[in-house]
Amino acid sequence: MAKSMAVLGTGATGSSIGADLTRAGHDVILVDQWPAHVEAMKAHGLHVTIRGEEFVAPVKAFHLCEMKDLHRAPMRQFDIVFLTCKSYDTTWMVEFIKPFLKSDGVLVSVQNSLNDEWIAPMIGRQRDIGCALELSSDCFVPGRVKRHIDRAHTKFILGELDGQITPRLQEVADILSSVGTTQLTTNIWGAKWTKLVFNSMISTTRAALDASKEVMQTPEVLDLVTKLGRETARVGLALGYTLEPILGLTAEDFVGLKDEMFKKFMLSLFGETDTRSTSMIQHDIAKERLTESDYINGLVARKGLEARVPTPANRAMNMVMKQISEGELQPGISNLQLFEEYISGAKAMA
Amino acid sequence: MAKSMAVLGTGAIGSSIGADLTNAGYDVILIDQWPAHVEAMKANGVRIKMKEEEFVAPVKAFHLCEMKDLHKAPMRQFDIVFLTCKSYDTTWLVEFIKPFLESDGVLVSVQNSLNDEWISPIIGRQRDIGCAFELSADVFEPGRVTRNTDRVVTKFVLGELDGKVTPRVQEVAQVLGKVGRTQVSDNIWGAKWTKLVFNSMVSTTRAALDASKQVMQQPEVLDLVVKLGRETAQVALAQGVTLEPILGLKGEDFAGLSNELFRKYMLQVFRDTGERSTSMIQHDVVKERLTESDYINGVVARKGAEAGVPAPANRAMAMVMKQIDEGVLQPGLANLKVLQQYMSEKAAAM
Repeated sequence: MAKSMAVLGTGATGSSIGADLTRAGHDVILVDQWPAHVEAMKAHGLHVTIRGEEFVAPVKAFHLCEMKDLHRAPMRQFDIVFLTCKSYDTTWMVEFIKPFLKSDGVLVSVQNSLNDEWIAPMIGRQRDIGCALELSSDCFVPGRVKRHIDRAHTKFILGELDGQITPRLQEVADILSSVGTTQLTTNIWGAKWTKLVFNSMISTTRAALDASKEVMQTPEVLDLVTKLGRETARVGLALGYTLEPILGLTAEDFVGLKDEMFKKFMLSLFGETDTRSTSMIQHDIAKERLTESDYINGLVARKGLEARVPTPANRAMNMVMKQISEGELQPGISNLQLFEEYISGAKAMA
Repeated sequence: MAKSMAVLGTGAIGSSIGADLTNAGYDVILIDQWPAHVEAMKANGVRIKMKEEEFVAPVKAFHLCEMKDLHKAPMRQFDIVFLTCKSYDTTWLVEFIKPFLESDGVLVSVQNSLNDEWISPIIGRQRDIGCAFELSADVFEPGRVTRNTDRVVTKFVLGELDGKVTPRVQEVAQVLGKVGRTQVSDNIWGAKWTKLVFNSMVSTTRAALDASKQVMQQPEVLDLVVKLGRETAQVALAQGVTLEPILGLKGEDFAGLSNELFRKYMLQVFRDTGERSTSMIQHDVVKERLTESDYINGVVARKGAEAGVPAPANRAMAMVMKQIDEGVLQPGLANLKVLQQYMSEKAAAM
């Protein structure tokens, strides 16, 4: 029988996925909390542009409050839920969808951070599948989504939390293959930490400094990036995670790189970055939306305390991003000074 | 400083409360998941129709997704949150509001059932205040509420979960004094269980049998009502709960009434019932909405199993109401037979 699916929290990422799954003929609904977006999807479908391609997917969109109608027999429950909301909306959304998830169904957290750590206790570890993703898109207008990278470069790394390669994992990968390339892993926690290394050193830095790829290549910025990346990788290793290779290096080698080499590696990385690329955190700031920084640098800082690994750079980044989220600080290169003061201890961190 | 307040889940009850608090000049916002209702309130305020009064309150209404805007400094957090949603929406809405509740704030569960039992582990017992209430209202169209109980009949019994009479519970009582009569209790669990006795014997029975006050007075129906009420009272007593007086009797005496006397008491209750009165469960059935029956008879059945007190009538009622919720059974007097059959099955699965 066809699997019954839901995409929950259909911002840019969820809409991108929901559109492709709908087009592929899957039995899928999109559930979101933004009324205008849901109304637009109901009225006109979902308009997607992806690198020159443009299409409208006739998605089935639901307001949260409409989910209650599903209690009429036969009660609609889902075999697969793709959770695609922001990290800070995770716990309540998981509580929300719990009654609609089949007892042998799975929820796939297609999110940044390590959300499976708090999702698993809520729905049971056996119903949670992890995912590390590469998908860049934005949704500034209700009902319209723009994907920045094509399907060949969109990537989903999927894994059971216990590392086993199961038939259901393969099935989820087959389904997501209409959206991008997929890969199964026996090391999803390591894959997610590896993603966290990049996010904690690049996504928030670009946002906090409002930095172009050229600015990212200046020595002071590279210095900050180096500190952030090294800290995050160290915390992951100290907690016993097996990180995936980073820029072709084992995590241990990556952490042990001399400052100069580290900067060289990062320099070449930024050199290859698309000039128009922006980070998802930058989009949130543009929209004056709460960013996920507390689930990126904030998480690294908290995990650092657990692992007894100092993380001054991540703590500083979290402080700066919090002030930007609150509207008290503007993104810009002048924030570099603030980082120096926080990291050196000249300015106290809460 | 003026207390910052939110009413969360503003259906009929929440809208009634939010309207009176707004008109009393409190700093209060209304948050709901039904987009059309929120839009109507934003555009025209909320219109409340009572028996002898009709007014429009210029409430501040928010969609769930708009709450994120509150992260801009100064971050808006609430001193008092009135949770007025249906019981089945409790856990996810509490998770939703948690980041917005002050560390020394309180959440007041203005709901049926025993929801504080699962609310307090989420926000901490010290931030949870319980409430048993009498307030009947309907919202049949967005932005328009019919409030059936005027302010003199509306009643809120408020209590700290540990039974202490604190300044803050008195303060909450003072605030709700703008909506109805209030009373501070040192036995809120007893008050909530006492309400549960009535709800489990009357509210769902009226809905399941689609019974008028006359039908409720028939011998077979009275027989069912007596079984339900006695079971619920017995389960409460077995759990060590001190019930409030019921129909002028102590909980123990009520539970120990002879069948004949019990029926006589209930007969009088139904004779005194208003001709056009309906139960909130009946409203939900009419609207084809999920009812709270699982949090009324279902909770009693589960608590009974915990306490080793059989509750076959409550279990049967929960099963019948579930089928009515699903639309596979119609409300009506014919369900008496179904209920009797379930009650006679010793180990019927729920």
